[in-house]
Amino acid sequence: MLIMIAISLAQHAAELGLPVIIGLPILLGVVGYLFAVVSPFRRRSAPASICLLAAAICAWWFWWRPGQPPVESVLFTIFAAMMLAGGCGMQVEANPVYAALWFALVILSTCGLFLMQGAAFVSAATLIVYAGAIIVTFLFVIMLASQSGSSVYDRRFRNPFLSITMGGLLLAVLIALFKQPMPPISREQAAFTLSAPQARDMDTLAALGRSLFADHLWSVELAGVLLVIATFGSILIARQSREERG
Amino acid sequence: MNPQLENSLLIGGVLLVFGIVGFLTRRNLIVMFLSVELMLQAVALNLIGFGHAHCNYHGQSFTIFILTVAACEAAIALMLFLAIYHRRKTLDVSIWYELGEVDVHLAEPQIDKEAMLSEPEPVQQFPGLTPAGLEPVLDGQITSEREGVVTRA
Repeated sequence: MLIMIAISLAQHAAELGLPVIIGLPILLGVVGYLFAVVSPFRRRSAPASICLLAAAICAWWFWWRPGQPPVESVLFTIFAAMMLAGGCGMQVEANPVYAALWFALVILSTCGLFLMQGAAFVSAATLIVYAGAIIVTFLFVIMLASQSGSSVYDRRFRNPFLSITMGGLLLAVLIALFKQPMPPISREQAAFTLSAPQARDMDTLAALGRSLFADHLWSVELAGVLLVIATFGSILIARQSREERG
Repeated sequence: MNPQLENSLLIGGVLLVFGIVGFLTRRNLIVMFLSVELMLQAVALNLIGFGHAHCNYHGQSFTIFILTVAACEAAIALMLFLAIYHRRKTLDVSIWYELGEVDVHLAEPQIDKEAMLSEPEPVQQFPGLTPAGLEPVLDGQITSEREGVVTRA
């Protein structure tokens, strides 16, 4: 029934205009998320997955335009679907170990999207730092600090109605803002002071390095200081808590 | 607008909202922190998209700084979570309601009666870390530690 209504709405989307295009997928998504999270429905995952799937298909239908370059749009669809599935699965999943693994999926697909936008180095760095270091640390901490299996506070959610409705509204406002016509990017904005991109070094590591060490030199130094401070800080906190335990 | 920029803005927006909703609804400290990382990823996606649209490298530079800050954050926050866990034996945020001042009356913390009444889910066993090394010899006095802490749920 719901699917029939959705399909008929989708066919007339062009006449219905922006509110429906934005509102329908978000509404479906909110309903599906609520089904997945609110406790009486939580054990039965069928309505939640149907609603979320319908939201995803609906959003894809409205997003798809026939004139797009085929390879890019197919790749974008795959990565975006993986990313959103990962994000949703992470928030719905009760077990923190699985949540961390879903987060790893989000990182992987984000790296794919970075790669599509010509940010090869950033993509590799994100993959190494996040998936290689941060998630492993997370898994260690979860294993150090967990009872057996998922506990009650992982299965029960705080104020799901309010937060999810708020999230849907926020998303609607954001997308409506993105759909506003933006002023085109002027040449003065695009060119920059020290590291204006040159024709031959587009999308190479050398150009990124020039930008980092010419435009953002102070920030690089500050980032180094921050890393040292964070190392000292975490060692100090670890020692302190051990002394407290006696 | 540039369709590629619009795509990354859309996707970044959806991911950001997932992060916000997760931060508001989850009760496990570690998962809340993961939601914050999700929001950071969304912002990084937007920055890369803008950098690509403007044909310069500032977006990528900013993303590298985000990566640095996220790594520092993760190190310190996870140490703090371990300290909290050793003190209270739970990672539930709702036991930290009492951090507020005494004379300010906040909303009563919700007690899940349903969760107490419903039958427990089957317990899954996950690999834990086995303690290694010798037990350190304490010099007579054992500092009392609050074990058996009341969890509200």
